Amino acid sequence: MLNKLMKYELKATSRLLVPLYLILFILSIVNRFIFNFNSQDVVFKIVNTFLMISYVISIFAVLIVTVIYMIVRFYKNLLTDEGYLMFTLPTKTHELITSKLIITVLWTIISVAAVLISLFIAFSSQADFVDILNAVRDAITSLNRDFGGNWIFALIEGIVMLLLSLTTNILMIYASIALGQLFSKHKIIGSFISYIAIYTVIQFAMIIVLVILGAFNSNVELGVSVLPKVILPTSIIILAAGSSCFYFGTNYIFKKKLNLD
Amino acid sequence: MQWDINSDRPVYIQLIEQIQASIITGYFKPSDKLPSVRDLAAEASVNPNTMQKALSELERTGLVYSNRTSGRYITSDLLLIKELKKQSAKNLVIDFLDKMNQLGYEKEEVLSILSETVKEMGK
Amino acid sequence: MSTILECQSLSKRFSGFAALTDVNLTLEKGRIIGLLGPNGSGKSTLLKIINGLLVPDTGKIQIAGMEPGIETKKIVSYLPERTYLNDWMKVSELVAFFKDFYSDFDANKAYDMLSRLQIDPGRKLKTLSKGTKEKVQLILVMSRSAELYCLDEPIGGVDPASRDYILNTIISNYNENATVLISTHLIAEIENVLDEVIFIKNGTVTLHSSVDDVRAKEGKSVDSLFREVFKC
Repeated sequence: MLNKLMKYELKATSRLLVPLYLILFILSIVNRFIFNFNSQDVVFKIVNTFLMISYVISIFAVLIVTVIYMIVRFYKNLLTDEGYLMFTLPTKTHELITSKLIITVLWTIISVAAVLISLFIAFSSQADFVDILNAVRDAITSLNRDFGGNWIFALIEGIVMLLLSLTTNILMIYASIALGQLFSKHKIIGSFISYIAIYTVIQFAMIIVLVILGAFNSNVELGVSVLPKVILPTSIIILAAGSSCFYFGTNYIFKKKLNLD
Repeated sequence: MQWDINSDRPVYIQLIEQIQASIITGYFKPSDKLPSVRDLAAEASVNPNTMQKALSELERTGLVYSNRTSGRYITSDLLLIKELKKQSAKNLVIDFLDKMNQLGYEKEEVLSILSETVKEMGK
Repeated sequence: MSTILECQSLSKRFSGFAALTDVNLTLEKGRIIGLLGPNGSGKSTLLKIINGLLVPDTGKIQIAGMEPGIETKKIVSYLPERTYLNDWMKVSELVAFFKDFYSDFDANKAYDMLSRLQIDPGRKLKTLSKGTKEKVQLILVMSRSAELYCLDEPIGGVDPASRDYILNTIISNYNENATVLISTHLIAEIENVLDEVIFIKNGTVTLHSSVDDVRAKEGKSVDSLFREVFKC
């Protein structure tokens, strides 16, 4: 069931996002040619500027629209009329949530990758390529030095952190939407209020944790080497805990407190 | 077949009456195979269970019989059908006499109006 | 077991408003049953609870002996009173969707009904008229071989000829193992098709009887009785 749900989620969301990314690529290709053209013609300069601005806007659009669209879709597909279809399918409630989470993470990664690739298409040259390789090599060397020789481990931890952090943020939004729908009359406003409330609570919690950690640890010289061994794992645990709370909270609300109009 | 089910009397009684009527008029001939319960119900726009009830009652009175493997059939008993026809006619007459009575006519008057009207219709 | 639905002391409140109060109901297999009541009487609430879209506050509900959940969703086919399908999908894509998720879905039957009603499967749902959309939704729901069909106003926004076709479909679809629960206002139209009727008023069941019994006892149609009972 989960696979089927993901398949349809992907199909439904591609309709908007794929054309959006295509426009981005087209603009980046156009810009590449324009960029290398040099002409004093005024009309050309105006068109050039216009295209450049369009391109920059499209980069922002790709990133912002992807996020907002996936959030709106979660609400629309599960808590409006379409919810009557989704919640009567023979699937478990958590499969509905998980399928959307995975596809949202996927599109977020794709949108960032698309922007990077398009920048590459628009602006890079032979020299840039070599520069990038060198930068990567330098980064690996410094990682190696800072983290006592185990750069792969640090890298993996970093990626896990990134994914986990993305997941936690998405689940936090899902949980806010779920809490919002408990307000029978003002579901959308309720979602925003819930989000602010959750965010505030987390900020307080983080301050308290930092104060506690700070009180126990006055040895500043531990420095960067502690990162992969203590701070990152701790953060991963905290994020995992947060994700679980949001996930199971959302699931509970959808299972027991659902109230479609 | 045209079914005419009105809404204030139990459906199955009306179904029985109308199936009986169609046997009398010859729409359903003796030994004819009846359509399935579902098809009849769909045709009459009634509930299949109700049609089933009507058919069961007709089976009980012998107008219809069922062969376990091949379905339901109209009886081949011509006498029974004739008897049914006569009973239907009688019911019509009783109904007619009732109505005439309500109009205030006595039995002899009814008979004379009847033969008068039959003569007029003959022309 | 011949009982398909069993409700015991079912109650549900919404912020101070009692939608259902102490509902006790037993529905047998192989029946076509009308759920009749004015707006706000609790019909939709009951249907939502049957389909797992609402959780009752108190009481018990069992479909084929099971609590609402993934197993009951496999055997219950629900037609809500709204356009609940993805508007942007083509009719053929919706058929494929249902086939994908419901193992009891018969795509051939669906296409057959679509062609009988002259609906082009290549059209996107949002390009169809409201009445046609409703027909499509009904066709998809009836193309499943479910044990319980819950139809919320299936003939409401539809022309008389199509209404006949829909009622015809419900009758022809009949089998002794399935029950059809129809919630509607158009009582006169479907009375003859119903085995039993349930009157629901202000969240309580005031009548549950066979249609023939009502006509025999009250000497009038269910429609007339309804108008009497629910007179404003």
